[in-house]
Amino acid sequence: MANSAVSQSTNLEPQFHEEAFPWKHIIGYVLSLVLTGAALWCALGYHLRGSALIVTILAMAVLQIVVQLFLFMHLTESDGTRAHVWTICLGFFFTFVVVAGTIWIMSFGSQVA
Amino acid sequence: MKNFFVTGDPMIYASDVLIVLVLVGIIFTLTYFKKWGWLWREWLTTVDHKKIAIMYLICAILMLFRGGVDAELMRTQLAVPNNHLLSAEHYDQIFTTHGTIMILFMAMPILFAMFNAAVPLQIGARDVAFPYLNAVSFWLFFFGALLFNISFVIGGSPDAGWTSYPPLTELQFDPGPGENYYLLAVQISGFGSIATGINFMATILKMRAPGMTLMKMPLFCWSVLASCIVILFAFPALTGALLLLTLDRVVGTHFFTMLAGGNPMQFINLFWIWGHPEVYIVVLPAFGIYSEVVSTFSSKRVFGYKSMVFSLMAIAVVGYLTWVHHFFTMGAGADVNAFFAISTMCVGIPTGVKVFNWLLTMFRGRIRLNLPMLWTLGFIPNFALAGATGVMLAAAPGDYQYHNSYFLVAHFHQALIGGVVYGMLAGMYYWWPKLFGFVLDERLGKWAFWFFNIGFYVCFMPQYELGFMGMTRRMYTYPANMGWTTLNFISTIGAYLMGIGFLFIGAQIVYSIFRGQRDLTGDPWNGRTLEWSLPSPPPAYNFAQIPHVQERDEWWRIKQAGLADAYRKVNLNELEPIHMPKNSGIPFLMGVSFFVGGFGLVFGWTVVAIIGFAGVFLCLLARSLQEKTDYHIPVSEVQQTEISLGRA
Repeated sequence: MANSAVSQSTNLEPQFHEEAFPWKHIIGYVLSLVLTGAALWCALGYHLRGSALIVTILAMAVLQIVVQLFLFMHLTESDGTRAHVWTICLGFFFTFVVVAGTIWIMSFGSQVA
Repeated sequence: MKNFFVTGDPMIYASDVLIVLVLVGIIFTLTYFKKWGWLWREWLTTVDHKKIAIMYLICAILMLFRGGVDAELMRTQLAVPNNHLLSAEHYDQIFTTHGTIMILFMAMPILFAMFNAAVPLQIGARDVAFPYLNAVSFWLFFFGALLFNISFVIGGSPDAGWTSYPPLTELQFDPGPGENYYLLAVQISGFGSIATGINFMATILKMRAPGMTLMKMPLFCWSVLASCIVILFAFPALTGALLLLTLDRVVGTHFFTMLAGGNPMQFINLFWIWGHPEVYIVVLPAFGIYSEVVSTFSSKRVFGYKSMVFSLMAIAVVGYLTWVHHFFTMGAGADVNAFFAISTMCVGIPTGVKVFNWLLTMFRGRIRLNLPMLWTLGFIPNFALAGATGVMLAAAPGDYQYHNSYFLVAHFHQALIGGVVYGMLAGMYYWWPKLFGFVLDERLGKWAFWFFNIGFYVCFMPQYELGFMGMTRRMYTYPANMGWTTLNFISTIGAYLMGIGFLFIGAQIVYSIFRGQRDLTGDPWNGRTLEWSLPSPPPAYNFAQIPHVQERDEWWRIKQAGLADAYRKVNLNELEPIHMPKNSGIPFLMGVSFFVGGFGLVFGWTVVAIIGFAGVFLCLLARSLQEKTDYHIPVSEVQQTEISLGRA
């Protein structure tokens, strides 16, 4: 928190170690573009249908989360507090609720269609 | 360009004249008193949480006025049958702007005003975790609100309801800039809200004074933490929904059209994934304020602190699982509706726990009926009714009868006015002396309370009945033979009474600026938490020395131990330089850039949009390349400030 208003300790240096070249970020950036593009290609080009399409997109979404957490958010690089664990668990819970809930709620449309 | 300015309606022309007069007045005053530099240095570039709180508060009160005028126009239109004061189209625009402004440009900023006013002071911090980001949040909100508000004189207001459901909001059914205004203004201010959520979550988790464990935190901070968690997980759904609808309108995609494989119900699903938690985003901090106020004005510690914390968190999580109750009638099936009906009713349990805790806090307390307490007492019966009617609406089969009727309108106004507005007004009266250094006048405030509170019931109780009689929301007029005339007329009288209440609040603020009782002690209410240990208003750095906290109601403990006077004295020799963030003009310029970019997209002017968003990028770049974003206040300056405050 080098930019924070009031660091209460005198140590103002960043707490994570810095790489010479941001390889992680570049790999992560490329991977997230590839994953997004692949999902779009599947849906837009009608290459998959029905549950196969949904399962594929979900799998890519999970990979996307892994990319974000490990390559951008440095999940493993510092010892987290209990608050970190709690918020990450909450994040997974809410993500699950939104995705699973939406599929459950909106699948009525397939009966209509 | 022919339809650039809205024409034809005398009320709009009157507004044009007023807007020009006010602008000329502001520019003249600032120039005449040579205040432009002051405005830039002290306000537009500030990153001080206390000043940002004041700016949020001023904007919120102005927006309450704007949304209130919309409400009075609607009630005037509905006072008698077959009324044609407003045309159907104009009425549509007014209920749309009323809803959007009240939720997004009134409730959210007044909420953030309270966050900024109280949280850093309560946890013993000198500012929020990311003060620069805090300023960015404010200016994104400000320019989002400005973009939304100019729509009624330039280009035309949105007219598809604050929920903006497709397919009505698709380009083919609703051409023109109106809906674009809604989408972009809400999007821009939404970015700011997400940033505020992150900011205060980090502040509360990371910036507490030594000794203040989470379970020693004031309940308001807990409620802000709960609210921020919900902001962080709910707002991205709105961002996504608005983005997809914007793409539909601007680029011609088919996410929500019936043709080409789109599904309009998906927008409704995404909208309410944000929309229902949004209710808890705004009401949880109000609960926090009630807890502070009840405890302070009963001179007792809050009853059941741990159950209060638990129920706040339970509401935050369970409240996230209820969104389908806004569209039971979509017909997703009995299993889906049953699940969401039950989860909705479950939210009533932790809320009930809180109500009983407030009552038991007052039990055998020495209650003082100052304005914050008055609004808190007004809230409790109000919210009990809102909860009861909420459970009625939550019963899915019953909801098929109440859906989109005036029963629903009355219910959510009771929850949002009775819960949120009362809470924010209580908070405003409570922390006003801390922000401004004077207390708001009690006598005028009591007039305001009674007009508003009585007006509220006169306005909304008849609307429950009208709902049962079949009157649906958003209808711009009704025939005389429906039997709705009397109740509508009574409701309009109530709306006027509430309007008079608001005018009393305005009068009270103006009167108190000149005649209000100055707060020289810093502790006008005999408070219990750390903000009341500071002078009113506190110095820029808040705490000359960061306090070491021992107990939950730390300031109360210090006072009870007879140490208050000693505690207020700073030992000048022990002071150290204070590390603070520098002011920056970039957040303001970034807001201007977003405004220009948004305005360009609203009218489909690509060049203007590109210029605006290039400006945003330049602001980001400029900030990334800045080396020195912070500085130290030297000891001598801190000493002088503390001496001038009489604390040395």
